[in-house]
Order: sequence, then structure tokens, then C-alpha cells
Amino acid sequence: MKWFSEVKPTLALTLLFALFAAGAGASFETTGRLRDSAGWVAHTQEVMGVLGLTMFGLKDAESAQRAYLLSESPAHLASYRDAVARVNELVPRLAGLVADNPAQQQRLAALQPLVAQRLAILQQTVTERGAGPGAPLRLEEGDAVMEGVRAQVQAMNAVERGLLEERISTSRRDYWIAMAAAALAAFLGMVLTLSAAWMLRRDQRRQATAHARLAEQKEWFSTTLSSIGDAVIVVDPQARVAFMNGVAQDLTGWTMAQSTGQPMAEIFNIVNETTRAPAVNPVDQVLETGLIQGLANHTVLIARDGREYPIDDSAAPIRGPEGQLRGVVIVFRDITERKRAEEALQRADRSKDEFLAMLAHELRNPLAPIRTATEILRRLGAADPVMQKAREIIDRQVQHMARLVDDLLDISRITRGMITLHMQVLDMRRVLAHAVETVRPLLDSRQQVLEMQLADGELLVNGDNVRLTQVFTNLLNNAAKYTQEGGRIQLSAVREGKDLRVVVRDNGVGLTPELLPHVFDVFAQGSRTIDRTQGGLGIGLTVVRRLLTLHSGSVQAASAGPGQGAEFTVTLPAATGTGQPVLAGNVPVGGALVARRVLVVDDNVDFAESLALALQLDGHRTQVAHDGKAAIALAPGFAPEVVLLDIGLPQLDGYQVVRRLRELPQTRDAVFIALTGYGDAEHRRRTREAGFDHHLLKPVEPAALNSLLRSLP
Amino acid sequence: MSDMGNGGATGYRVLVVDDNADAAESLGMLLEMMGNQAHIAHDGLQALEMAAALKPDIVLLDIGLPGLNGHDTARRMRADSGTADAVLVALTGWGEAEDRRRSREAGFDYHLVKPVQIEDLEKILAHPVRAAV
Repeated sequence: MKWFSEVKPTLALTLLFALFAAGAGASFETTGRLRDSAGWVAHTQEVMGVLGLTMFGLKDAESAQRAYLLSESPAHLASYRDAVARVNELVPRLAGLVADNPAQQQRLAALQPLVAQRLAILQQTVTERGAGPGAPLRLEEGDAVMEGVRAQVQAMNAVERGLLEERISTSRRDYWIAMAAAALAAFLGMVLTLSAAWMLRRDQRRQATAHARLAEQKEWFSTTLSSIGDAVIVVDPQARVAFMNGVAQDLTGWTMAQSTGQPMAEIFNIVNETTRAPAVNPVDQVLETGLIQGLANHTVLIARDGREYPIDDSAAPIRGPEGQLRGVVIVFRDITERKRAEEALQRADRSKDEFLAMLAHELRNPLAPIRTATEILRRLGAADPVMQKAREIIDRQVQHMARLVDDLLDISRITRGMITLHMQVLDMRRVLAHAVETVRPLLDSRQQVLEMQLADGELLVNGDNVRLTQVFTNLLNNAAKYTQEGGRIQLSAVREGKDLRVVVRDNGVGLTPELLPHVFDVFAQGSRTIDRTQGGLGIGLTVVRRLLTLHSGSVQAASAGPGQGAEFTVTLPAATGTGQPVLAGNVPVGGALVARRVLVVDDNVDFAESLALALQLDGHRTQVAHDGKAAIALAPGFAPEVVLLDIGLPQLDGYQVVRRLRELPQTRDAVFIALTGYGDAEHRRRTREAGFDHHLLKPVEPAALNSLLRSLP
Repeated sequence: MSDMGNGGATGYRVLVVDDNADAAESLGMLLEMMGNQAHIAHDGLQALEMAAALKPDIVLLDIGLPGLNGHDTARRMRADSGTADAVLVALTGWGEAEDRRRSREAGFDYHLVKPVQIEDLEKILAHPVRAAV
């Protein structure tokens, strides 16, 4: 349709032009015809004229002859001769003139002899008179011929006159036709011209409007570009600057006049914030890939005068209607303010966290004397059971508070990224065993049953030993606390695809639907029938979730409802380890203090306890046994990595203990350190043969022990 | 290992240093109830003075002391021949591995996190051990 409406004017114009051309053609033709018919009129008039002249010529000849005959004057003779010559000239001319008219030609054919005769007669008389006077004038003879001539001429004249009338009327008609045609042609010409003029005007007006609109749009865009707060640079496909808006000029320090046509790299000097190495120019990337390049981080723009701004930028290709690359537009902004705001926010966040940490630490101070005081009260002995109860209450609450503070500190540190995880390939069985062992006393005191269903096969994870143990201890603790006495707790672990799934299920008080979605939030509330003073739910699960997140794992809570128990499912990505337990190869070495599980076996109770406590100074987790049997019983649950074994144990001596422990899977690869008063070669050989890895002399040099522990792979 | 294995009830000379009066006093009382001789100081300088005269067997040092902090007090005690052999126990709200390391470096033998578990205190008193070199 558009095509048609565009063609219509051209079509109309062509049509008009055709009409005009036709009109002009008609005009030419009718004018030609007019000329012809006018020519015929003239022709007829000429014939008539010649006929007249011929008659006059003859008459003149007659007169001259008469005069000569009478006067014999040579002048008259000359006149006579002139007249005759004239007639002789005219007659052939007449013949030519009537060539188109056969009838006239016939008449002329009749006329010509008569004229000749008359002339002959005249000539005769003249000749005779010339010969001598007295010749007879033969006038009457000549008159008769003249009459004949006159009659013929009149007849011819009459015909010509008729023709003349006819031809005049034709000519007049043709004149009007020609006029009409010319008028029409002129009219068409005018219409054509006017139409053309009109179309031209219309086109001009359209163009003017289009230009105006274009100019307006340009103006609008230009204003917009100048008004936006961001800097805009447009380059051509050869990365030369084509346009810079005001902000870009400000930031780069180049005016548009100076930079147009320059390669972009000249005016857009960007480096990496920290390394100061030249940053990749997003324009180059766009030119290479043809794709929009996103924001680059840590870029600093160096202006012409050396000022620096951190910027955020993005570049996009400019494409023409056929998709061809016409240039690149880059938009960037000074993010100094934003960075400042971000930093301020981070600082505020950090100070909040630091405040929390500081607060938690401070809270520990007043708790200490309270506990000490209750201990004093306990030792003073309370005869009064009410006093006893009161003291116990204080004691428990202090315990609760202390645990809350611990959890709070943990969360704060996890948030601030201050938790360092010592990642290793761990056997989940060991981790769970240890957690169970920690919770065992609580389970026993509540007469609860723990069922363990650990799948066969590899159950390995990458994780921090201490933290993962903390996670499961927490979950098991909760299960025990929130289940009635005599209740049942199930612990299962299974490999599912790429993950390990550990489930702690209890048949205790369960969770209400309202609490369920918030159970991992800090200080989640919930009604429970069990004494809440046993405490810990407030923050513990938050810590659990965050620790698992740090391990790329997750935890889900589920409960069928109040009184129907609860189920916590932990998912962790499985590790494909060497299958070796903790002490094999992957552990960071070299002076770094790695927390170990250390079993101290010595029948000197105080020594053992004290040593264990001292080892805790280095962050180790310790268990103490005072004889071989106890050590062997403890070993599977605790799964110690290091065993400090006194040789001189009662009943089962150290050699036997080490042999037995080497047989257990959990301690097969532990480091066994013999503690003995004998340091001679023989004894050293015996300990080595028994399976000990190291041999320390009592009294143990703590420095030696520590460096030994540190040097363990 | 310098070993004072007297067992619990025969009494050590213990110096308790804490700027919280209640904390120091209650701990002192408890120690006496456990059969020890307790002395109290409320800041590092006072502690050093008293220790020079007293020559305590065990010093329980709060870390967050005004003026001279617990670490520096411990260092000075180690430097002084009169107190170099005492068993030093850090008592503090800070319990991370980093904090323990710092205690060890300052010369402490034990690092207990407040509020102290009484059993831990009893263990130490039962058999105080010099762990630091």
C-alpha cells in the first residue's frame, strides 16, 4: 500500500505529462493544418491575382499598341513590349499555380491559345505599323479574342473565388481548432506545472518536517546524553572517538574537539585498581566479540591531568539496520561515592560484628565470679534443700549463658569470616562417632536409646574435623534434649549420588508448623514441654547451618508436628578421597598448629589430667584414660589421632595396649607416642617393635612434646 | 616437666589477679576452701610486686587487666627469677586458637576460658604442670 501511494503521484504526474504531450502534439498538428489551409487561401488569392494581372497585362499591351499605332512613339513601343513580356511571364506562372486543379488546368489550356492569339494579333499590327504608316488597325479582330480571354479568365476567377470562400472558411475553422488545441495544451501544461509545483512543495514541506523532527530528536537525544549523569563515549568500528558527552569530557579531561577521531585508547586510560596494569578496554572486547560487555571491576580511569577515578563501565555494539557493526558505545560512571558508601556500609557491618564479639567476650567476665561463687556455695554444703535447689538453678543458668555466649561468638566469627577451617578428607563415621561419644553422657542420663545406621562403603567428606563434629554434636544434643526420657534417637548416614546424607531423627517433642521455617534463625522461639533451661537451641542451630554453608552443605528440618518428633537432614558434598583417614598426606604441615584428638593414657591420674589440659592450650581435644582397658574402650568412639601411652601401665602394659589399638580400625593409623622413664637403645627398640611411632622420656619435656605434635604429618 | 605433684589438698600459694573484685575475691575464697593459700591483686603491677615477695606456686592471671595486661605481666614474671618457675594460668574470655597461641607465647602453662569450669581448675590444682619452656 505504501508503495502504491508513493507511486500514485508519479503515475498521476506521468499521466498529466502524457496528456500535456498529447495536447502539445495536437496543437502542433492543428497549427500545421492551419498553416496549410492558410496556404491554400493564399494560393487561391495568388491565382486570382495572377489572373488579374494577366488581364491587366493584356489590357496594357492593348493600350500600348493603340498608342503606338497612333503615335509611333518608341516609348509606347517599349511599354507594349513590357506588357507583353509581363503577360508571357504570367501565363506560365498561372500554369504552375493551377497545377493542383484539373478543371482549372483545362480552362487554362483553353485560355492560353486565346492569349497567344491576342498577343499575336497585337504583334502583327505593331510589326505592320513599324514597317510603314498606313497599315490598317485590325481592332475588331482583337476585341473578339479579348472577349474570349475575358470569359475564360472570368470563369477561372469565379472558380477561384468559390475555392477562396471555401478555403477561407476552412482556414478559419482550422484557426479555431488550432487555438483550442493550443489552449488545451497550454492548460494541460499549466496543470502539469502546477501539479509538479504542488508535489515539489509537498515534498519540500515533508522534508522540512522530517528535518525538523530529526533536528528535534537530535536535539532531544543530545540533551538527554548531556543530561544523564553517566559518561558516554561513542567510537567507530576502528575504535576512534566519534562522540563524547559532557560527563565523559569531564572525567577523561579531553574535550570532544580534541578527541574526535583519536583512537580511544588515547583518551580512555584505564588501569587495574591494585596491580596498576592496563585494564582490558571493553570497547576492544566488543569490537572483537560483537557482544555487550558487562561491568568490569576494580578499574581506575586516569584523566588527562592525572586525576584518578574508580569507574564502573559497560560497552555495547551499535548496529545498523542490517546488523552491521557501526560502532561501539561505552557508558561509564565515577563510582567513588558508591565505593565510599560500600566501604562505609562494610565498616558499619564490621563494627557491628566486632561490637557483638566484644560484647560476648565482656559477658564472660561477670559469669566467672558467679560460677565461682556457686561453687563456693556448693562446697559450703547446703543443708537446706531449698538453698540447694536455688544454687543449682544459678549454676545451670550460668552454664546456659556461657553456652549462649559461645554460640554468639561463633556466629559473629563465622559472619566476619574469621573462622578458619582446616579442611581435610574426613571419614564421616569417625566424625559421627566422636559426636556420639560427646553426647553419650546426656543420652545415658536420660535413658535414651541411640540407633546408628551407617551405610557401608565410603562416607568421606571434605571438612574441618572440629567444626563438623561440633555440628553433629549440636544436632544430637538437641535431639536428646528435646526428646523425653526413654525416647529414641536415630542417626543414619548414607551416600546419595554426589552427596552424603546424615539424618538425626528423634521421637520427641517435635516442632510446630509455625516454628519449623524459623528453626535455624537466631533465637527462634517455640513452646516446648521440656525444660528450656537446658538451653542451647537459641543460637546453636544457626551456627550449625552457617558452618554447613561454609562446607558447601545444607541442613533441613522436618517434623510431623508437636509430639511427633523431629528430623534434621544434613547434606554434604561427598569427597573422593584416598579413603585414608585424617592423618594421611593432605593435612597442612610445617609449624601450623593443627588441632588433634589426643588420648592420654597414664595411671597417674593427676598427671594425665593436667597434661591433657595443657595440651588443650594448643587447641587439641583430649581424652584421658588411666589404664589399658579404659584406653581400648575409649579408642573407637574418640578415634584419637595421637595416643600418649605410658609404658608402665598396670595390668595391660603399654606394649599390649598399643598392639591392641593398632588392630582397631579407628586407631590403626594413629601416632603412638611412648612415655617411659627408660631411654636406652634396647627400650627404644622394643617400643618401635611394639608399634610405637615415637619414644619420649619422662619427665616429658613439653617443648619436645609440642614440637613432636606439630611435626606430625 | 617440673612437677609439683602434691595432690589437691595440701595447698599451694596462689596469686589471683583480676581487676573485677568479685571475680578475684570469689576465686580466692574457693581456692582457700580447696586448701590453698590465696592472695589477690587487681592489676599487673600490683601482681608483680606481690609475686616478687610472695613467690607463688601458681598464678591465675586475667588477661584483660588495666595498665599492664596479663600477657605482659606473665612475660615479666617469667623474666624475673623469683617467679620464673611459677605455673601461670591465663583466665580470659578469649578462647580461640589464636588467643591460646598468644598465651603460650607469653609464657602461660594453661589457658582457661571464662567462666572457668571448676573441674578444669581442680585438674590443674591436682597436678600443676609447667608446659611452657
